[in-house]
Amino acid sequence: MRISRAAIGLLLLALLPQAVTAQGGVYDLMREVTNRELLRNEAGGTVVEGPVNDFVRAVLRREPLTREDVSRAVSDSPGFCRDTWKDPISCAALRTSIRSLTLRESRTRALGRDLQIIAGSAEAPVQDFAAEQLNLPLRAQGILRIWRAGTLRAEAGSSGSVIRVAEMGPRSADALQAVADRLADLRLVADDTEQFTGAVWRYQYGVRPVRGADPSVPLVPANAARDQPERQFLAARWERLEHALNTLLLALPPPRSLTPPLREGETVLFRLPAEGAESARVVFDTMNVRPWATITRRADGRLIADAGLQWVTAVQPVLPSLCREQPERRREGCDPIPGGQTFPPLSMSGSGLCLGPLAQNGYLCRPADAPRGRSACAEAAAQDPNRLILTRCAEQSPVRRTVSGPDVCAQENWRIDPPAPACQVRITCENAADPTGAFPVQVQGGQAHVPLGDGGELPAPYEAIKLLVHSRQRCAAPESPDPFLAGTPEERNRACCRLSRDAYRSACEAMQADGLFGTGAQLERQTLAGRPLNSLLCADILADGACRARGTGTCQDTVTREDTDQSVAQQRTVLLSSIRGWWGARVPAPAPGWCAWIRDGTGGARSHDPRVDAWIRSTEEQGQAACLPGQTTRYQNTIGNNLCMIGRCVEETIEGHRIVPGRQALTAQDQAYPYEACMAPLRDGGTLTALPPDLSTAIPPYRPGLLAQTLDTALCQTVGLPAGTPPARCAFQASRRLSLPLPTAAETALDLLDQDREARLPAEGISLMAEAVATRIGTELYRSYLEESARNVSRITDAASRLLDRFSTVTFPTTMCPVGAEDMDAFLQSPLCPAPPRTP
Amino acid sequence: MSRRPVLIGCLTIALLAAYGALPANGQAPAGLMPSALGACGGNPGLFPRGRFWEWQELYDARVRAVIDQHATRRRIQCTDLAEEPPSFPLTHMARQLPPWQDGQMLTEQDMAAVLIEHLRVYRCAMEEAAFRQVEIPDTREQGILDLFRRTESLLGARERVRRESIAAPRALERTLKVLAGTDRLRALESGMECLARTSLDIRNALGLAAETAACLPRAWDARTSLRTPAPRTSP
Repeated sequence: MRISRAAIGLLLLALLPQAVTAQGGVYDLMREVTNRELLRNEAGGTVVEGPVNDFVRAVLRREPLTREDVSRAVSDSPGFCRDTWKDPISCAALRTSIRSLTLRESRTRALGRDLQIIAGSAEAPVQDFAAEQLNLPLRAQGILRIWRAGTLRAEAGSSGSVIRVAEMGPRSADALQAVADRLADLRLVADDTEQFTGAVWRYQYGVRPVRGADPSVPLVPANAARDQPERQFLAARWERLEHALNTLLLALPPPRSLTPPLREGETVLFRLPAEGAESARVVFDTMNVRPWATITRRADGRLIADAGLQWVTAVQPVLPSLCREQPERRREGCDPIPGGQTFPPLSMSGSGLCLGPLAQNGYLCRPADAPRGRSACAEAAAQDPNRLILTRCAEQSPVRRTVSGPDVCAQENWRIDPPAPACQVRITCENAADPTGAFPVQVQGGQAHVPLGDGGELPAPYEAIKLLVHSRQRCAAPESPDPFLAGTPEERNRACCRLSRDAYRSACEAMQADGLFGTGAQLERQTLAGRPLNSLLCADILADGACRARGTGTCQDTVTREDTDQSVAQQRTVLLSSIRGWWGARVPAPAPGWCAWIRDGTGGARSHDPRVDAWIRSTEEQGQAACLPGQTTRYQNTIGNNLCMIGRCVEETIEGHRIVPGRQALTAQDQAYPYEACMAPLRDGGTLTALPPDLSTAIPPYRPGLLAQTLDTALCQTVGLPAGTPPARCAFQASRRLSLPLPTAAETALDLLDQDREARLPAEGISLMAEAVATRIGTELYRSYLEESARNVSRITDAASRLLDRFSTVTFPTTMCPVGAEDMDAFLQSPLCPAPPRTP
Repeated sequence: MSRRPVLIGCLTIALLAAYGALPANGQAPAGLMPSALGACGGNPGLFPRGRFWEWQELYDARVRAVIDQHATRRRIQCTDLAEEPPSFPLTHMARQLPPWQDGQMLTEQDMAAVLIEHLRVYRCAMEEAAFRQVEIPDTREQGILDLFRRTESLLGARERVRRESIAAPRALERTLKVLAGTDRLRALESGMECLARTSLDIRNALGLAAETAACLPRAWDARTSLRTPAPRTSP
């Protein structure tokens, strides 16, 4: 068995003159393409490739031609007309027909290959499953993995898919050999490369879309091959090859054996094993093909496996078929396909492009997440028929709002296995009124019930914030008795004032942020009872009024503490009425009602309001501090996660630290500690590192219509004529010669026939030049895009570099801050104190 | 009467063949030879005289080696703006070509220019060989008067020159087209590789900063002390 497979590989190597290795076989491939164009084989003999040869013989079927006859006719071999059945005159005509037909079809095929070479060389480096040498998507993904925050789970954010590369493993050797054998069958048994080429292109995105298992790719209609015979191999299927590819899937390492385990949204790309399957590798190398397989765990947990084929260097396109495929009568000859027809695009054209795990995030596969008017979408506004706008922008860009309040990375899910929340927030749409005067949020069984009814005193979002602050207060000590009901009257007063004021303060700050008390210079223009209205006064009035109404007494820390109960109640009524009036006039109620709208978030958020969402997370993350002394916090080592850790530490420090009383400075620039005079001045103080606010980039527009028109114009101008389309009109104008006839009619006629001669040379020159110009235009497109995007990336890395550079220049003291007289004396003598305070 | 032209023709061919074959029998000068075609600048040794039938293989092998080496991954330098150093096959080829013979600066980005110059020299050598005919000795030839084999060899050589003058430029042009697509992105790839390395540096530095930040609550909280309490000694 092994011997036979190795023999197949060796046979292929021996039989295929275009045998190349996958590594660096580009030049040999191009030699082969050129030989085909020139109708030559490696030995220099004339060979007309199989499909063209069959087609020519089928078109000229009145003559009993063999394959060798066609080659001899094309090569001007003297033996062609020596056969007895050919008379010299008809033989010359036949030879001319054969040569004309063969050269025409060969030229068309050479053009197709050239176009494929140009396109393939640009596409290969950016393909998901492309080969080994230059794979930009994988490199880009590697950089993303270093930068992104989160646990790389799908629900962690919208940073894109995750893909990793693995080998197929030793178990896959037999399955790989089966795939290689099926490809060899197509290449050798079918006696031409059409089916082989069609099969590789057909399965380039995998077997699943071809079978109709992927809903994003429409299934090719069953009659497509019959109705559009020139494209028959774009719609064909090869059952035995499909079976072999499916067998390859079964031979892959099981997903549970992957280390680390496959996460949601992650894809494993399997490639040929480095060892084992040598005979299959020989065949694949010979055919310039690579098999691939993937296993993807989708966000819903389902595992999707697929396998396909990919060119190492894409040279051979699916050329228009010349003979209708008739497997049962294949050996009997060719059923020629009449040309000159136009067909609509096949339904699946281009749809497979977006199946790749990385390509699906590309600009061709999804609209850019940038609102209109930003630089990324600036081109979309300009309507120009000559432009192809490559970037589509989302109509309503999914703006991701975060609240950098309780937790800078609240929505990033950056920690691995954080501790379970002590308290789970559960918002219910019921009224909060409680005749017993109990605390508005109760915690039972680890759940904080937040009653967000429509009868709340504040508009629903602010009421929600207020109640969530209460839930956070309650979750901090869920076992303690109700603070509004327990304790002495003084304790109840302190509890009511402190807890209510904190809750109202957060709600009033949200109102102020929304502009309820005025924006910018208008803030505090409004007054209430002679005091400028802002979030602090709002919180004081509402908290003091609530506690007085509850009967717990005046709140001593509020500005209204000197006011009478009646005055505070009146101010509270006026303020609440003003808030509701402002809210009702400006914000229409959503369809499901405010409570349901706030409660039911989407896209991983718990609420539609990011501020509410932040408070929910903050409440549930109590006791989950990341930065306490002795605390173990695990996260993946990425730039984003490290920044989250630093941010959390700074936050927790500011939120939780206690400054020793009496050590605070009383005035600005005052020193809090006696040794501060010895501290060196802060040289970098006040220098800020700011990034430009808009880092989006735009794909430059592509103007093929304009380029074609420019070329037409150049062609006409070269021969001294005004622009015209098609340019052939510039090359031939009968009136020019007819208005100035030559002496004889024969000369005039001959001149008319030869009139395009003067345009032919310039046309050939432009044809040669156009390729170089097109290359420069393509390069200019790259440059336009990369210039902006690379500048943005360099801005970010420069800023990071500068920040880190400053870290490195910080000189840490080797001595501790002095805490006693002895320490202070030693400190004053240290080099750190260049100007020690002098004692009078 | 009818035999005279044939006889004259045969004699002419014999004389021409004898003249052309003389150098092939040991009189061909070794090394460089003044070029018959001025623009070719002489055959610089890339295509040795007397081995005409091996020239195509030599040409293909050299081009293949340069392109294979170009296609393999190379070490990327991110620390300076140095040009990519040329591969060994490219250097070897370039040093035998007139523009780079005097040690002019060469980088890997010059590959296309070197290959095109190499092609020019190849075609010149071919054309010159076809023109002089003395460069096309058939090594299989045994006898000086073997007219038919000599004639066949000459015709075969002319056919090869004609074919190669078309095929070699087209094959190289197509190859350069393929490489142009990848080379255009090669600079981007280098940039991405350097960005990845920079990102790793930033990540590691931030990792250290995060480790340090873990001390912040303890450092800033006045209730605690950064000092490790001294071990209690017995009174």
